[in-house]
Amino acid sequence: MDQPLWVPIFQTLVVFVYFLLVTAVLIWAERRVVARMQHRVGPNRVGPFGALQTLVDGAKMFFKEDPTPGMVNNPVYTIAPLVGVIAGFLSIAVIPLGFDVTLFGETFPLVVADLNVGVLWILAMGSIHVYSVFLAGWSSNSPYPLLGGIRSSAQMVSYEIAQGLAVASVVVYAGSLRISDIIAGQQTSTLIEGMPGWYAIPLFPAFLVFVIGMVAEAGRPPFDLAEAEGELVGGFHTEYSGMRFGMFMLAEFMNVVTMSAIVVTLFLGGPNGPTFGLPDAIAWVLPILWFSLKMIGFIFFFILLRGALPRYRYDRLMSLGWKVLIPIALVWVLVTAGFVLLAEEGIATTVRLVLAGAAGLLVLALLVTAGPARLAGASDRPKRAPIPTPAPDRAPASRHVERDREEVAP
Amino acid sequence: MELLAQAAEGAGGANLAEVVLFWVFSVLAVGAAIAVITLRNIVHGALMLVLNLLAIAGLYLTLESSFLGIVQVLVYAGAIMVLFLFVIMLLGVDNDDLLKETRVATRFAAALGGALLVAALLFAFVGTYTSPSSLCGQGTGVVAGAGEVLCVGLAEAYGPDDRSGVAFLGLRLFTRFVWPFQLAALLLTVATIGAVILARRRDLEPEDLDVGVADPDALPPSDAELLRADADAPGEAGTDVPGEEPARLGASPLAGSDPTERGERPTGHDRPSDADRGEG
Repeated sequence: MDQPLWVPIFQTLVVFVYFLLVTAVLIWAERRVVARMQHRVGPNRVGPFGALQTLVDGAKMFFKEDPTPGMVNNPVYTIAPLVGVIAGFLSIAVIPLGFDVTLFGETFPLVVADLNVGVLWILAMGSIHVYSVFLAGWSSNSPYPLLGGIRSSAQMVSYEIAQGLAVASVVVYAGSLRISDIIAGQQTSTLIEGMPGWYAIPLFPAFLVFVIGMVAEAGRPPFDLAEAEGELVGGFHTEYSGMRFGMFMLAEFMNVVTMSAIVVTLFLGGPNGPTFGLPDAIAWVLPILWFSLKMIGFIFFFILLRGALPRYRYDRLMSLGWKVLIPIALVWVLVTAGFVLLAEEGIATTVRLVLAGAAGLLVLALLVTAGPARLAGASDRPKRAPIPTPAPDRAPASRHVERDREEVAP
Repeated sequence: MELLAQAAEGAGGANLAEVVLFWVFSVLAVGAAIAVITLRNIVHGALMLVLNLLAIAGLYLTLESSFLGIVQVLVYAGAIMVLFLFVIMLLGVDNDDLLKETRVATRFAAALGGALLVAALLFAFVGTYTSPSSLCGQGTGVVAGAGEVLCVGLAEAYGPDDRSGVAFLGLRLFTRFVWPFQLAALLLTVATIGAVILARRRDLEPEDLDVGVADPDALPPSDAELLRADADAPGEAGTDVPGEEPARLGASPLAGSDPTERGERPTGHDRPSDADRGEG
C-alpha cells in the first residue's frame, strides 16, 4: 500500500503501452498474413516489411475530415465510439502481464489492479462494450447501421451467456474470482506430475466454448455479422468516418488482443512457464515472454480464421450459440462443480478422474448426437417461412406486407 | 449525516475519499433517475437508467462490496438494459406513446402507486436503519430482526478465505434467504412463460408465403421482420419533412425530441444519409 506514486502510474503505463503496441502490430500482421493466404503481398511500403503502415493509417484517420450526418442523434452518436474504446482498455486492467518485478527497490506485479472479482470485471466490461456497437447503430438513424446494431447486440448478449458459463467452470475449479489465484492454480498440475496445470485440459469443453464465444464476442470473421459488408454496407459504423471510425476499428482489434489475453490467462496458465533456473534478475522477463507468446498464438488464430473461413449465416450463428454452446458450457459447470465437491469430500483422485471421464463422455455424446443434429435441423430441414403474420389490428408496416396482402387477396 | 459519519468511523477513521465518492455517486444516481422520467426521448431515458445503475454500482463499491458492484454492472447495466434497449429499438416507439397521459384516473393511479411505493420503502427503512439504535460500533450487540446480533466488520463477517464475500453471499442466499430467493426465481419463471406465450406467433401457411423475399429460409425471423421495416426506410430517412420521420424504423433517434431541435438541423443537407452513402 505504501508504494511511491510512480509505481501505480508505471504499472498502468506499461500495461497500456504493451497492449496498444500489440494492437498496432496485430493490424499490420493481419494484413500481411491475410495477404499471404491470398497470394498477395500486402502493405510493404512504409518501414521494414510495411510494419509502420498502422502508424500511417492512424495519422490519415486523424487528419481526415469527420463529417457528422445531419440526421444523427448527436450526443449518443459521439459517445458510442468512445464507449467501445474505453471498455476495451478497462478490461485489460485486471490481466497480469507477468509476475512480480523489482525496479528501483520496489517490488510490484505487472498488473494495473488485481481485483477480488477480476473475472467478473472482464465480463462486465465485455457487456458494456455491447453499448458501443448498439448505440452507434441506433444513433446513426439509418437502416443499415440499425440492422447491424441490432444483430450485433443480439449476438453479443447470446454469446456472453455461453462465455460467462465457460468462465464459471474456471471459477468453480479454481475456487476464486481473483485472476492471480486462477493463474497460481495453473502453476503445476494436480493430475499429472511435472506438467503445467492449464485449465484448458480438465475444462476442455469450457475452453472450446470460450474460444468460439470469444470470436463471436469480438465480432470477428467468421462471426462478423454486425458489419457484414456484403449485406449491410458496413453495419453499425456505416455513417462514421475519420477518427471516430478509427475508434471502432481500434476497439475491434483491441478486442482481439484482449480476448486472446483473457483466454491465455484463464485457460493456458497466463504468464506461467519454465524459468530454467535463471537468476531472479533476468527471470522476471520470462513470464512476460511466455504470456506474449501464448497470446500471439491466439491472435494468429484469429487472423487465420479471418483468412480461411467464410461468414457464418446469422440464424446458424444464433442456434450454434443457444443450442450447442450454452448447453455444453452449462453441463460442464455441473461436472466441474461435482468434481470439486468430491474433492472436498475427500474422494480419491482416481475415482474423481473416472467420474469426470464418464461425465466427459456424456458431454461428448451430447455434442456428437444432439448438437449437430439440432444445428442441421435449424438449416437443412425444409422449414416454413419464419416471416410473422402482421398483427391484424395494425396498419401494414411496409410495402412488403402490402404486396403480400395483395397477392394473397385474389 | 449521522449514518455517514458512522460509516466513515467504521471504516477506520473519517475517510475523505469515501465520503466524496458517496456524494458523487449519489448525486449522479438521483440526477440520472430524475432524467429517466423527464427525458422525452425514450432511448435517452433508458441510457440514463444505465447511468443510474452504474452510479449505484459505484455506491456498492464505496461500501466495499466489490462483488455486488460488479454484478450490478454485469447483470443490470450489461444484460437487462441491453435487452430493454433491444426491445425499444426492435419494436419501435410511436410518437403517440410519448404523449403525456391525460386521463385523470390513470394519473391518479400513478400518483397513488408512487405514494404507496415510497411509503413502503420509508416503512422498511426509517427506524430500522436510521435510528440511533441501529448504529453499531465494532463488537457491540444490536437488536435487529430475529434477535441480537454482534456487529463485526466486513472482513470478519466474510471470514479469512473469502476476500470478495462471494462465499458469504452464496451461503446466506442458500440458507437464510432461500425462501425469498426461490420466490424471486418463481416470479422470473412466470414472467418468462408469460412472455413466451405473448410473443408466440402463428406461422403463415405455405401458400401465404411472401414472395417478396427470394428465399425466406435464408433469413432469420428477426431479419425478415426488420426487412419489412427496412423497405420503408431509405426513402424516409433522407427526407427532411418533420412529419415524415422514420418512426417505424425502430425508435427513431429523433422521436421525442422537441420541434425546435428538429428545426435546427442543417438545411444544407437535403438528403444527408444518401449523400453519406455515396461517399462511403
